[in-house]
Amino acid sequence: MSGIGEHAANFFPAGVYVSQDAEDLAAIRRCRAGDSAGFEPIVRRYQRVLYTVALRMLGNREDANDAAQNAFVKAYEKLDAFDEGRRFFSWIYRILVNECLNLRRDRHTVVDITDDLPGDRSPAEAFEHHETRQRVQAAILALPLHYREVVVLRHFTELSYEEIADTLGVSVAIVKSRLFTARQRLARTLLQHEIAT
Amino acid sequence: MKTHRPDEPLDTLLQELGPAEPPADFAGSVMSRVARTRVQTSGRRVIPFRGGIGMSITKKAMWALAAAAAIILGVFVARGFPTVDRGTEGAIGAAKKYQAPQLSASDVVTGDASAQAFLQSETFDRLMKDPAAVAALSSADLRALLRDNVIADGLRDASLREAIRSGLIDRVFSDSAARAALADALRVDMHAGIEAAIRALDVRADLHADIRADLKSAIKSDDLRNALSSDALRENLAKSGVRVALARPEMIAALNSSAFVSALSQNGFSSALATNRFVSALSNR
Repeated sequence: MSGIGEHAANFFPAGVYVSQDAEDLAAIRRCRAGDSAGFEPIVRRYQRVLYTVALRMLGNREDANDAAQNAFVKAYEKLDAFDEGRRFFSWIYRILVNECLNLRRDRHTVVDITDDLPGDRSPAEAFEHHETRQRVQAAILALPLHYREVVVLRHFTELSYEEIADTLGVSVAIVKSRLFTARQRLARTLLQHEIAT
Repeated sequence: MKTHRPDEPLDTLLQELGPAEPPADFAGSVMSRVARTRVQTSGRRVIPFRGGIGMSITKKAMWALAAAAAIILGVFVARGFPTVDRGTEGAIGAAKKYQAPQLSASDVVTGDASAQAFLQSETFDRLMKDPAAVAALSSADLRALLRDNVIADGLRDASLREAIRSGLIDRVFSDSAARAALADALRVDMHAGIEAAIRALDVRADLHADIRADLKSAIKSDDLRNALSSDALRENLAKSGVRVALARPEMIAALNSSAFVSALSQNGFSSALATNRFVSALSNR
């Protein structure tokens, strides 16, 4: 079974990549045997990528935190339904997207990107940088879901086309086609806001 | 807000947004919630199989059924298949007439997990309760059409659905000169922008006035232009069989159905159409 693959290093500190799937399966089997502590390596392994996906899908840190946490808990509750022939990320990703959709239905979306600003910027530059980031995030949020997914998975998780196709359950050709259209839409939206592309 | 800087590519803007770090107590919060939860075991016992890989009782039962079927088949092959009673030959012939095409191996494997997820979703329940969607999906031809990922993906776009409903797609794609003009205009748009693409349509002498107006309308719409920029979609729409199917009244009615449109947006929809569960759910409506 292939895992997150050669991009696993994006999710974890450098140098810790070792047969991720074997570790995932071992942890899942521990949980199924009743050892809830076995889930912690799973959470630590995927927390960054799931939180990032949720943040880019929702545009709000509080909502992203809720969605990612809920996804982990629901995945744990339904571990018995996990097919060991599938990649864990593909499975929990679908749970996360459903959580994101539920949150977007329930709450009014407010774009709130308050990541730490680099310290080497002047206040004016920092403000401009912050504004640009908000515009880019808003443009991502304005994309229909099937376009937003490919942009988020490609640009913020750096999965390969094949891994994105596997995660979304579509062909590589469809992934490329959606990404092309999504990027065109993003570029057009950003140009309308005078942010160059 | 930044002023126009044509040297700043989209990739750079996305890269600046970058990955995000979860709160420091994220894992701890999840684990404290997990500690209050139990894994759903569904009462199934996991037994060892092939060097430690677990297999549930359900899987065992499936293997047993498959073995029993193989034995029965073997008996039939050895002794000959039972003869058909008189009077039923015609019924079998009639039933065969409506059999759907056999699935290929790739149909079964591709997207199977997403199909299962779709079949267990609320979207599927809504779909099966929607008369317009059920009417369209009851047609094996339309299901086969929607199993094409390119078509299903295209139909997710509201502007393309509207263009089908209005007849624009049929008018443009049934005219070879219009298809060529559209492809040219899309290429011009990519390199020189929309205004240049419109001018390219204006100077073509091989277009009827109404077709030219349709093409201009398509090119001017950001969404429709984006949808039609897919070579694969245009190739599909150029096929008369596809256009006839898309123009069928039950298909047009389905395109107006919110349940149908929601289903289109689900990744497992296309592959779910090929499953027995989908077809049997339709027949129960």
